[in-house]
Amino acid sequence: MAQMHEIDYQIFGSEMQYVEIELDPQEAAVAEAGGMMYMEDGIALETVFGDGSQQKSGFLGALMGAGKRLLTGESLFMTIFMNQGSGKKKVAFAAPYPGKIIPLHLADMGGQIICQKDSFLCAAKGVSVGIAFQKKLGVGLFGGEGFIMQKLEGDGYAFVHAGGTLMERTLAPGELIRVDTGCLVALQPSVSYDIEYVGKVKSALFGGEGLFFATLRGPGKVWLQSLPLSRLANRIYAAMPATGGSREEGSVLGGLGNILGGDR
Amino acid sequence: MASFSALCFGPGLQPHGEKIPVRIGEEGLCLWPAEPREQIIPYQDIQVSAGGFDHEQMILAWSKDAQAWSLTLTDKHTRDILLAHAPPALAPQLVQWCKKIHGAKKRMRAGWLALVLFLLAPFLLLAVLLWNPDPVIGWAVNRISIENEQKLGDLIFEQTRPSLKLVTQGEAQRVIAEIGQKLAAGSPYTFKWHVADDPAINAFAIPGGHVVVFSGLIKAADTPEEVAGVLAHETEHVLQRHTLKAMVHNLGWRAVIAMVTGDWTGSLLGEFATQMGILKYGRDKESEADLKGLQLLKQAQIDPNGMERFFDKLSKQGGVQIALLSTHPASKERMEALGAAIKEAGTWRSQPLPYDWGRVKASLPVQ
Repeated sequence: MAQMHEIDYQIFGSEMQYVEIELDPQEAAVAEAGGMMYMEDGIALETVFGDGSQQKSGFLGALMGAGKRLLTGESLFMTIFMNQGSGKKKVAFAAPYPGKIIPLHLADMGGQIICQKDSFLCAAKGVSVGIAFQKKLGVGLFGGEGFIMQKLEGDGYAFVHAGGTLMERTLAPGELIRVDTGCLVALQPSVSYDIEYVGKVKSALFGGEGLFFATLRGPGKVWLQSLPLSRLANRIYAAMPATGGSREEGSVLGGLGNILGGDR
Repeated sequence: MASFSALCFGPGLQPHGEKIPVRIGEEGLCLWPAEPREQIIPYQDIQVSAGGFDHEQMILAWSKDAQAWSLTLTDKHTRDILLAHAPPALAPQLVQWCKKIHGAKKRMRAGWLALVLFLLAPFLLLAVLLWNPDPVIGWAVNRISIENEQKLGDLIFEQTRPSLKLVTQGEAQRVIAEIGQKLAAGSPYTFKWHVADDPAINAFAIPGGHVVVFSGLIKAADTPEEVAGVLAHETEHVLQRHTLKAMVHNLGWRAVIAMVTGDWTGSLLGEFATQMGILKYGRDKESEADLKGLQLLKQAQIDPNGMERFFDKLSKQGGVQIALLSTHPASKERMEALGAAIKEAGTWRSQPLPYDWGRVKASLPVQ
């Protein structure tokens, strides 16, 4: 417990949020490289190989950590923000797309949370960011985004980002919900995660929901996002003029406007 | 009595579970032992199942007042405590759990192994091919039908023809074809014998039965038996599919696929044609062709000494400058092996080939 840094935080904004973390002297936070929004004078920035949780585990340990991070598609390095001044200093991290930031106090959650890769934003130093493999072949092959996930371990705060609107759900023992594989943000390790085939060829072909659902069986907490980035990206891509989409909002004169517009 | 701590979920508890002490009692699991809220769960009410994110956690579930409760044993250490002190009433279910976990683990491992093997199969095949190509190439080449091979041979010959000055008429062409037919009698291939006007002392075979003899070779020979030796050798290259194998070796699997399916695309054919000029078969293939060629000579009742004499004469004459020797190196071992094989085969009643070799030479175009 001693190596965890207790940090104070405040979340600002409603749909495009950022989290402001207050660091006491010598306290530190870790974040994915590229997530920082601003920091006050006195905070030193250091880039570490791996996830920065085991500074003393030697080169091989760091290499392993970095290798695992490569598997999850993260950058090899993480950034540590340490307050080296006197007095409290602030550093802020911003969400990369519209959504909500979820503060997770890992000590309250049994010390471990599994979250979708890319959703991790920042954490108090000492929280280890590892990978959680799905050992079941079916889940691995058809689980979409759920194959390789991130495992956050420790006692401090970790901040995870969910797209769109957040849904936090507590599953009673044995309670089951089915979710789209992309909509799962985080879950407690006590929740069983499996993949279920949609079951009907017709709905698989024309339902547009994908061929597989993730089934989550309690007990434990799960966090769902209403708008996975991939869905948003699909719509944006489909609407792009370069891929045949229209620049105008569905107006009857759209085509004419395009001819007259001439500002390609 | 043994005790452990486990994550408990139930009404009135923290939604994300609470770590509580549990004692393994006589009649049931005792939650919060020696605390005011102590309660005992009878073993017959408990259902054991496997679950959790890694599918290996032990979940003990029961219902009380129509509400679901559960204990999750997340780590192996805790599970070992329960398994070691398994109460008789729970033992069958625990054994079932162990079996299920082991079965699932085995299946997972087998599944992943199969997947990895499947993904690595092309690389493994490639490694085998690089490591020990001959059996694989032999196997692949044996899949190729003779019709396909002959079709390929015809196409290659058409590609090569413009660079050869073929002698289509005359005594030489007729004699070479006659000797060849005598040697190749009874083979499944339809051989075609060609004479090319070229001063180089050379001869080569194309898959499917095209054999080309250069006029230089005919001029260098003193008797028809000497040429018959070379022809027997080249015939064996065709019959043993040496050319085909060497091409597959040089051009790889693309060639095999094309050959088996009989689908020729232009570029590949061009490569085959260029390959023709520079093909080398390797020492063992040359010896094989020598020895089997000897059998052909025996069948055709042709004197085998012409074959040996010709190579011997050439190596004394010009060494490596002679094209035939650069692709068919007349090494000492090879000559010795050929000599020994001739001796071993014994003498047979040979009939001299009834050709006037001087006239044959004279029928060739003058350089």
